[in-house]
Amino acid sequence: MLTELDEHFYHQTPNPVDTIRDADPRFVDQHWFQCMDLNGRFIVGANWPIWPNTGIIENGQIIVHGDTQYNLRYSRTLERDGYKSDRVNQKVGPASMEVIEPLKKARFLLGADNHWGISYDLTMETYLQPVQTRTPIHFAGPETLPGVLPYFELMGRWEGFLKVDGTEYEINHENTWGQRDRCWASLGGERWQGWVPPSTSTGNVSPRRAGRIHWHSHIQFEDIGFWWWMDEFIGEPRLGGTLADNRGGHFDGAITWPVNEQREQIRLVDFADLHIEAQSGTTKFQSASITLIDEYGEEYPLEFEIISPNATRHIRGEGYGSPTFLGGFQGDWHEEYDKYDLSNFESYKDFSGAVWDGEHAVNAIYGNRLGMGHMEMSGIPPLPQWGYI
Amino acid sequence: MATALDDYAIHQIVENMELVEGRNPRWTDEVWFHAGSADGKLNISAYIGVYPQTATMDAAVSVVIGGKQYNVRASRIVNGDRDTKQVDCISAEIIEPFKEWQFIVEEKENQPISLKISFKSLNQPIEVSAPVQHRNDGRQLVWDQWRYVQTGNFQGQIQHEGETIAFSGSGAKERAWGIRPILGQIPNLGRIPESIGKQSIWFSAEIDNESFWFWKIEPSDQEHANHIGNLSDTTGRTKLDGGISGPHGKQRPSQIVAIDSKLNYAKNGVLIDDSQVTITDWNDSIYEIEIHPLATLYAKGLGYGHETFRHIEYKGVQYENEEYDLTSNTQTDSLIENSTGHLNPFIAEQFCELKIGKTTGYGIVRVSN
Repeated sequence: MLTELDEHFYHQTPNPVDTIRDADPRFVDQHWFQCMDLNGRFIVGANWPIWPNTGIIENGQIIVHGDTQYNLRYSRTLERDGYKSDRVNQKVGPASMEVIEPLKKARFLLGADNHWGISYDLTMETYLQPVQTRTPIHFAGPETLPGVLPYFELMGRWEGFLKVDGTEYEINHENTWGQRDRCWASLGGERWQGWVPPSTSTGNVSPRRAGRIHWHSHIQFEDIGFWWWMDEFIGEPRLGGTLADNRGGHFDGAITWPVNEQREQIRLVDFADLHIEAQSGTTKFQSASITLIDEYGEEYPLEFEIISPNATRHIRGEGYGSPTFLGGFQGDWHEEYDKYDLSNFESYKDFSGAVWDGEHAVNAIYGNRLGMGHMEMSGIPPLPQWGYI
Repeated sequence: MATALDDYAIHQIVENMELVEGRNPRWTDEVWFHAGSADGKLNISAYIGVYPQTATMDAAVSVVIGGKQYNVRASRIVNGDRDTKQVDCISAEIIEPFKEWQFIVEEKENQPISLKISFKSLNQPIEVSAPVQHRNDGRQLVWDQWRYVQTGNFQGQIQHEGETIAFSGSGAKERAWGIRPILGQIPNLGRIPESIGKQSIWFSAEIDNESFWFWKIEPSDQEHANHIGNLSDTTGRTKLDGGISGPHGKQRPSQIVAIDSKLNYAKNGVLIDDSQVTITDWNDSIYEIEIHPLATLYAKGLGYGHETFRHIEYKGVQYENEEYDLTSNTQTDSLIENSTGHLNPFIAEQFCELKIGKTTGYGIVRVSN
């Protein structure tokens, strides 16, 4: 069926854009963002996965304010509307988004007509050159049904407002940094595990088994940015420069520069001197240090500390790990909500079983530079050098 | 590497938007127009297309006026801008999807033709029911292409050797994407198909506010030619696809299920003289249409089978223009001759007056025999 998208010269298969010739029901095309207050007062993040083969669009919202994580999850079916393609209509209940200028500016909105009464209007302007994985991520599903995930990242500065718990925050480029990403994939997960042979992983994007550290970061300074993704298995070999090999550890990353600079990006291919600290008496992330190594052998020592003790988003709130969300059909319309008290670790440790788990907002130090960024981290014991047996 | 298009959730495969499914170098994404004036004095055809596998965007326009065919062709390198429909002096723009496009050929030194015309369609597009496909000997894929056609009105201006001419006409726009037949242009990659059908007719028309489009291809082997399959059919049946559409937002197009044609061929099957087609749709509505060709334009001018402008192939930055005297049999024959091996089913395009009873309309007919 034709839509207005078909008037453009961007077909990738001999089919209308609105449809996928590869009938893989796991095909997803997704926007995601994280917006972080430099003073640790709030974190806002959300995903917008679209599943064109099953006719679903979802939206998962996480707003961390103080010690509380508020979650909203929405799902609706894609409907026909004349020549309009619902694939590019990212309005899901009270949430919507639009790309204002590709790779440069995008706007994300949440109307107050949601269970928590939270609202925001946030626009990110890209500050650093986009970075893309050197190879698509060959994600860690079963060998009989491999998945592939092209993926790129945009780091930038935010403006707009956030209203939460009766407080309105004015957001500007000086007080709120963050990132958004784009990925599209044959992705899998929980809903396919009964169909396919047992796997050493769970079908997640990253391989997941004992002795593993996952660390995915976007770190910004005024004049330089770092992005990397690692899945390290203690005691196993590591392959740098690609995320397409899951036989041991793997690592990919890049150094990027402000968008107005005509500098070539430098690939990060390895790391050393990994150290991670948990908050006292818990497995919650506190601080870390690492030395990144670029393709020319130059080293970049970086240090991080969480901005505030609960400056963490737990992505279960967006639907990750859920048996129903992220690709599950839940009728023409579905919504759900919950919240976590992040000051009471006992109340949510059941779904945050990995150590250092979550999407943390961190202060960053590189030499005499002060910056901040996002750190997606988890560790699966045994990790004896950190005392986790 | 990510380009601007990757920022939109419009992917069809797990690759960046600059890449396409498969590795066939004949991958295309194109728009084509053909417009003519009711008096037959002006006849215009144009296309612009992107070929992602060869990092190439081509564009061309042919204008027939005063007994001459003027051709302008250009090519550029695609580098992360596959949806920017601009090649040298030729550009196309979507003003409103499915309703209005604009096509421009800027003035240029030593170029006798330039133009700025808009195409407006009040009717819905008519699309294929499945990709057009054809295989020869069950191996080489000749086509694997989706397409749709709209009819409508053209308005604008043409500059011809310093004179500005207002243009008002009618015709069709076609969009197609996927793999198309440029076999033979790439040597020694396999046996070149002898033909892509024994008889083929491509027909678009707008008559009494209704749009018609069909494409019928008869197989070389006539044993099962009296049975009908769609344009994807490779069993030996006659291939037929098409429909009849009305205004935007109204009832979806009806599908054409049978064509009975009485074609009077000319120029060795490249052209037709006055002819008839009878169209039957799935509502059993029958349309008997008289065809009266008004003007002819040769597709070589657009680069199909052209000796120096090898369609789809990487050409770097290329620009050329030329003219042919259509009153000269020698020059007309040279437009028909195809020594390049480019497998082109339609050597000519005819702008035609069409009649259903006393109602007159206009359309485009392309045939091969």
